[in-house]
Parts: sequence; C-alpha cells; structure tokens
Amino acid sequence: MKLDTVALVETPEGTDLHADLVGLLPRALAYMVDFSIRAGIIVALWIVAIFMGGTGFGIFLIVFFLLEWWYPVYFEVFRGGQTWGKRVYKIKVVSDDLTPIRLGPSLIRNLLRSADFFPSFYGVGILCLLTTRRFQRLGDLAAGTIVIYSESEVYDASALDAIDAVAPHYPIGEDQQTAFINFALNRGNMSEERQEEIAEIIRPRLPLNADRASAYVRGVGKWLLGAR
Amino acid sequence: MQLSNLIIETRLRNAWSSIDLGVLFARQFWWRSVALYLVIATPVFLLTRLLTDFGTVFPFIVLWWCKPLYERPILYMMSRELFSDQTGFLRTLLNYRDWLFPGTLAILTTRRISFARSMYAPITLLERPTSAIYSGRSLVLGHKFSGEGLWLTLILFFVEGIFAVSILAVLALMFPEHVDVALAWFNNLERNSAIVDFSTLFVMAAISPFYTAAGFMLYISRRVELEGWDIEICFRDWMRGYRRPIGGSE
Repeated sequence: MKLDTVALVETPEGTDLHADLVGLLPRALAYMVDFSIRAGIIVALWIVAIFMGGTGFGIFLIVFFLLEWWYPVYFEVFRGGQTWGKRVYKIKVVSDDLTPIRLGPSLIRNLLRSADFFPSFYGVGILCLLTTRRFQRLGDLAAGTIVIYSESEVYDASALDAIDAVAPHYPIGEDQQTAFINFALNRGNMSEERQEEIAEIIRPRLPLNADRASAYVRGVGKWLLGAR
Repeated sequence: MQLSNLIIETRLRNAWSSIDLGVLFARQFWWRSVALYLVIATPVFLLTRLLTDFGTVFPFIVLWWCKPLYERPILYMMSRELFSDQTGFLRTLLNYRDWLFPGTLAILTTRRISFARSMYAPITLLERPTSAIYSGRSLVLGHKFSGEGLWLTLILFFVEGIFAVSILAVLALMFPEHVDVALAWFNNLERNSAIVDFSTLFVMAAISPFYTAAGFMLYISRRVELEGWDIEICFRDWMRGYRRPIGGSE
C-alpha cells in the first residue's frame, strides 16, 4: 500500500468514492481568515457598543456569542461545509462517508474546539492533525467528520489546439485515461525526447500503424478530454 | 532511481496536498528522524556553550542558524527510503560523507536565508549543482510552489512556539507547585539559558521531520510534474505482463 492522502469510501452499490484529505496548513490558514473576519466584526461592534451604552453591550454580547459558537456551524450546515476561510482555500467539511455534514456532527465538532484549543493556541488540535490517519482534530474524531479539497481539477484543453484528436482503438481504464490526459496537457513542459521516451513504454499496445508514439498518446489524450 | 520502488502514490498534486503527503511521510520515519536530528544538533549545542562567551542570546542564534545542518541526515535518509532503500539510523550516520559535506557551506550562508528553505534543500543535497546551475534549478522547481513553501516555514515556526508554550502550560497545570521554579528559569536567563536552549532543541527536533518531509515532497511533486513520473509509472504498470496478441492490432 503506497502512501497517499486520499479518503476512500466504499458505497453499498460497490463503487468507490474518493476525496483528497486536507492537512494542517490550509486548515490553519483558513482558520486565520475566519478569525480575522470575526475579530473585525467584533471590534467594529465594540466601538458601536461604546457609543450606544447598555443596550449596545447587550447586543454586542449576543452577537459575540453567535459568532463564537454558531458562525462555523451555520456555514458548515447551510453553506456546503465551507466557512469563508475554507472557501478561500477551496476546502470543505464533510462526514467521513463523504456525505454533507449535518447539524449534530457540526455542533459536536465546533463545541469541541475548546478541547482542541487546550492547552494553548490549538496545541492538542495541531498534534492530532499531525498524527491521525485522516488529519482529524479531536472535534473531527468525535463528530466523524473530515476536511477535503472541494475542487477537483479542471482541465484546460486550450493548449491542445494544434493537436489532432485520435480515438483510442480499445477501451482504456480510468488510471490510464488520467495518464493519457496528463501526457497530452504536458504541464511539466517535458522535452520532446522525454515525451517520446515515456510514450514508447506502451508501444506494444499502440496500433501497428502508429508512427510516433508520443503523437498518438497526445491525440488520445485530447480525445479523452472531449475533442472529436 | 527506480520509479517503481517509490513508496508514495504518484499523481499530480497541488502544493498543499504535497505538504499533506509530507506529513504522512514524516510520521513513518519520525523516531529515526528525531534521533538523527539530536545526534547532529547536540554537539552544536555543546559547541555554542563551550566556545562562545557572548551572553544568552548569541548561542541560541547560532544553534538556530545551523538548523539546516541538522535536517540534512533526515533528508538523506528520507530520500533513500522514498525509493524503498532501507536506510536505518546507523547506516545514515555511517554514510556521513554523503550528507555532511556537499554544499554545507552554501546551506549555512546564502541558502540559509531562503523562506522556503526545506523545499530547496533537496536540490543542494541530492543534485549537488554548482551555484550557477542551482539558481536555474531553484527557479524551475520553485516558481510554482514557493508561496506555499514560505507558508510551510512560517506556520511550522509558529507550531514550534505553540508546542513549547503548550508543554509549559501542561506542566504548570499538572505540577502547580513547581510553576515558580520553571518561571525562575526565564527570570534568570543568564544562568539558565543553557537549559532553555536545550529544551527548545527537543521541540525543534519534534517538528523537523514534518518540515523536512513536507519540503521534500514539494520538491518531489515538482519533479513528478516536470519529468512525468506519474505517467511513466502508470504506463509501466499497464504494460506489466502484456504481450501484443499474435496476428496484429486489436
């Protein structure tokens, strides 16, 4: 079993769902964005409250409570598992079976923030993120939730205009399709020789009349991206 | 370098996902890494104590400045384990010629100041380029992930601090009657800076495997992309045991 950061879920129908787990860094950065937003609102309200007196402080305390305890819950349950900070970093909270998170688990994971915060500045939470298999803090472990990257990659096929799409001459599996597509997109800007070298690996599987292996693989990659 | 021996799943990853993979990778070799770190860092610590007589701050700055040096054996060990080449604690130390000398001067001077240090360290150690080639390589490898490499350095720097404070806080909670004793260390830094420095070293050692591995994975991810490792591995797996049917194409 090779090291990977993927969360695999087998459904009763027998298909495998997978998502990329998110570790410490994007989560910490997203938290800091959320924290800044909340702190900004609280400071602004505080200033207003100073001018308003007693009622102002009453409202201030209520808003403070809501922001502290309900801000993440609201976004997780009603906004697709993403607070503003998580949206910036394109990550979201889901249940560990990859279904959307519900109110109960969301409450648990956010109430347990205080446990993760112990003993200072999320010391326990960071330790858990670094050591648990699916990068879960205590709140996640208790609620059965994970954080995943929300966007699957969008392929930009515009760079392939000069290539003729080639229909593959027999079915190709999912993993190989990805390889064909990555080959065609050539995001690493590989040299012509290196591309030829890689494409020659599958020479025995190419049609006998394929002249240059790299041109054929590239063409099939473009075809797989939807070009006909 | 045999790609089929890689112990990681090779696919195109973004920078964050590479760092996440680095955390998994570091966990695998955490104990060994920490031991290697301390084996190199402790003599440096002793030297700062024996050779310097410049108050409390200077020895610590020297200790901190030499961090890339302690990370080298870890990186060396990880770079071999990545390709299933078992490199234990002793074997790493015995092969000191491979990691102690090449480019050491550079990583402790000009290349020390980089904010994405752990991402560029593998270039110096594994490719051993001349300084002209180095700047080209670091541009090619770095231009895409350098922002995330910087965040990696910054956040793990804070994590070190958080862990240090957390450990002190837990100790204070569990042994309240000794809090004064602990605080006295800080109140009297002139006398106790050695203890404080040495304790700090352990926190640095605990974090360093994650920092080194995450930077290494940023480097590896770029090479996967630039050299098409993912495609090559996929094609080789696909061809394993395959023979063209006799009689032509399918």
